[in-house]
Amino acid sequence: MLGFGGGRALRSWRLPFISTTKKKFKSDDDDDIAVNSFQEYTSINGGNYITRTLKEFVRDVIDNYKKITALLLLLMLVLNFTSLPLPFDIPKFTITDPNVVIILAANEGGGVLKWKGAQEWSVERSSIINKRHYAEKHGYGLTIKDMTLKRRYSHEWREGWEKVDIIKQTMRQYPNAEWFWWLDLHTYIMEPQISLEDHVFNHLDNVTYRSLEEFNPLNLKIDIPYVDYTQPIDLIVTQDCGGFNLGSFFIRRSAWTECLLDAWWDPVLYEQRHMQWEHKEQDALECLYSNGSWVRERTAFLPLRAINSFPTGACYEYAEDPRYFYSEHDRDFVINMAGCEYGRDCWSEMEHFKGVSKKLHSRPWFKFWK
Amino acid sequence: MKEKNGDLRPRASSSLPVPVNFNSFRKQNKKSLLILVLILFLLNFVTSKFLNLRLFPFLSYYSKKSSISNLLYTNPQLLSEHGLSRSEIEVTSPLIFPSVENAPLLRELTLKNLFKSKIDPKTQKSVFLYDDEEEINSENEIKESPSDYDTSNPLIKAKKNFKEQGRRILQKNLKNSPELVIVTGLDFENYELTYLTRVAQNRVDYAQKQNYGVYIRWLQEFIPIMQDTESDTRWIKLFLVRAAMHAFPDAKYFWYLDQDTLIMNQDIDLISYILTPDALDPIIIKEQPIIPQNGLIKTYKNSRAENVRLILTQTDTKIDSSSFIIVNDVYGKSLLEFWSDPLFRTYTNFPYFEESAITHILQWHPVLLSKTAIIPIKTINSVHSALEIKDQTDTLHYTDKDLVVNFRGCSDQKNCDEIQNEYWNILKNKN
Repeated sequence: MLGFGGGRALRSWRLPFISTTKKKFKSDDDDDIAVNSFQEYTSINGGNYITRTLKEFVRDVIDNYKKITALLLLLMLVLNFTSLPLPFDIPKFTITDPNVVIILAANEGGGVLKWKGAQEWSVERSSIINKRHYAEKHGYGLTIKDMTLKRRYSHEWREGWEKVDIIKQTMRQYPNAEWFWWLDLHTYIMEPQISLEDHVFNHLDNVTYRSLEEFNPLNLKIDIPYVDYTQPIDLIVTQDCGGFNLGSFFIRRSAWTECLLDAWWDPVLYEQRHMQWEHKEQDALECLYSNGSWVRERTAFLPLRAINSFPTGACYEYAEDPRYFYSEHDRDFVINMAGCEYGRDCWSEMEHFKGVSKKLHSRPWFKFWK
Repeated sequence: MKEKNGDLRPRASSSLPVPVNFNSFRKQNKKSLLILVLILFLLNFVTSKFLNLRLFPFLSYYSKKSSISNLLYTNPQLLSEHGLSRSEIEVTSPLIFPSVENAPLLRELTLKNLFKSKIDPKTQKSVFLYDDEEEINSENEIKESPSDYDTSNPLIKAKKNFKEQGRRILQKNLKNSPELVIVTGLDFENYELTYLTRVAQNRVDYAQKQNYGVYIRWLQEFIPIMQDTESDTRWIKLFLVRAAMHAFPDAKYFWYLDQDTLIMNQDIDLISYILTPDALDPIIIKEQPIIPQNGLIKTYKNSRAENVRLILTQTDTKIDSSSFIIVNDVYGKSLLEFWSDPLFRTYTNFPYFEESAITHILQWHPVLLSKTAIIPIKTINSVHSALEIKDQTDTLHYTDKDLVVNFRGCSDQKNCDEIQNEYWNILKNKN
């Protein structure tokens, strides 16, 4: 047969069990041959003939299309061990629900107060594309939440306090996700190849710090009673020059988080502090953290530049301090153009960092190893 | 032969030459190994590129690792959990209570001698401070400073006992850790010795009978915390319970009882009486306004005993916190600490202090409300009535066989001793 088929034996290749089914329904003389063939086949090889057959098949394919196989194997090796980009986007399928969900706040402060100009649209589009690309690449969920001021809360003085409600809502929307990553609109993921697992989640205890001894811009008490640091980490925030920064933070689904989100906004606390609390949720969290050991024991901090680097325009009084500002050399993960809407130019900052990211990830076409 | 029917393998008997291909490898094992490796490779490739699942991470390329390690701070050694003071005394008895007989001596000493004090530059008032420099020596006692060396002086002994009291915690991983702890605070400034002794004795008797723990502290121990925010001393009960949770980390329930109460029916095992889900479920008052009679926010219709972390009672007009039970877990602790937040304690529109605060919390925080149950007041907080109870439908006042009698408000009328005496005699006659 091989003699007959030469390189094209594949055409006559048949699964043996087709022959056996035929046996059941027909008993023509022609098919006796097939039956005999099958019997002989099993008698020679013995054992599990399906795997045998599969092997036969694979062997035949390789046998018959040697060049194509070799080419495919080469391509596979190259793709596997280098970072050669494919000329087309590989569609991602996730088998399970995402474990991490990115919450992107869009339209911040928009709505009743002002119209959005062309540059604002552009900034928003860049930011969304960046996060969508990142989420797709790593199989995370992405939800874009509208932060338009709606005057929904005006009777209880909490416009601009939607953050907590949005997190609660997203937790309901993704009931199987564990970690939620809040990102303000004016952020840009500079190193999208880094997964959050590699960056933070797989070594939480090593990358975070829990005591304020090293870095304490708010001068909070370092040691308060009843704090049990053996509790798991459920909230990861960063501190900038002025205290906690909620432009980019992680929160984990847990019983504790349920309590925190419930306690975060309280009218009695707010009524006494609304004059001092310029940053709303941020100040409220600082307040709960400073006095409550229950908040302290599950809150951890990341260095600002780990997930929340600043451009030089933010925290400009501390321009000398390298702990706050984005460094191209260190390839910081995320830039947060915090406060760019107050007197700075969000659009040009965004375009600048988009360019930096593009530059950092470009290389000559032939250099596909690293 | 049967070549026509698709048998592709070359045969030894075939007259035709065997082509040069993989089949010509004679060593079957090597070949199947090769094929297996190829299949794994292919699988890894497909899953890592298309399904975002790295089956064999070493088989695929890793892009630039995160640079986070450059940024890290040196992580200082974290302090382990401690109470108000860092050095603590471990005890093995689940009955933690002060030497009540010291009450007159402590009153004689006054707070000025019991705490360090300094003058607040703004208000010119003296402010009390905890002295955290006192260390514990090998005999589990506070090291004496030279000036306090005279141990024969009862005043100095009383002072030392007062300072050691707050540091006592139950030894960790103790086998006979109680499931329930009764928490009470005693006020040596405003109550007489007999009264305080009876309160402590009452708790200890009951705890011994039912194998519970007892945690009694002087209320005055918490004065520095209250001074910080100029809060009313009634808030101290929350700090007492928090301290008890720290002292008994393995206990599940903490039952706070005011000093104006007595446990009257010592045969009732509180856990089987109201705390097991079977016992608690039927007595949770559902759809009950938080502010009686017609508050807008009501307890949940579907609250279940397994979810309950805080058990409260209500009088006709408000929530009463003379007697409440809280569960020692993440919800219980969060609720308790949130309840004692300094900004609640400084709020001037809370006429009933901690009771107003919990009323407020339950009305504004749905998660915390869902963890709270209001139960009939006669279970753990029957109120004393000066008049004889004739009304059969009365659901508020103490009657015979109730667990607790609560004579709160007696200190306003200065008749606590008399009322307690009355109930103390009833108790004595029972035994």
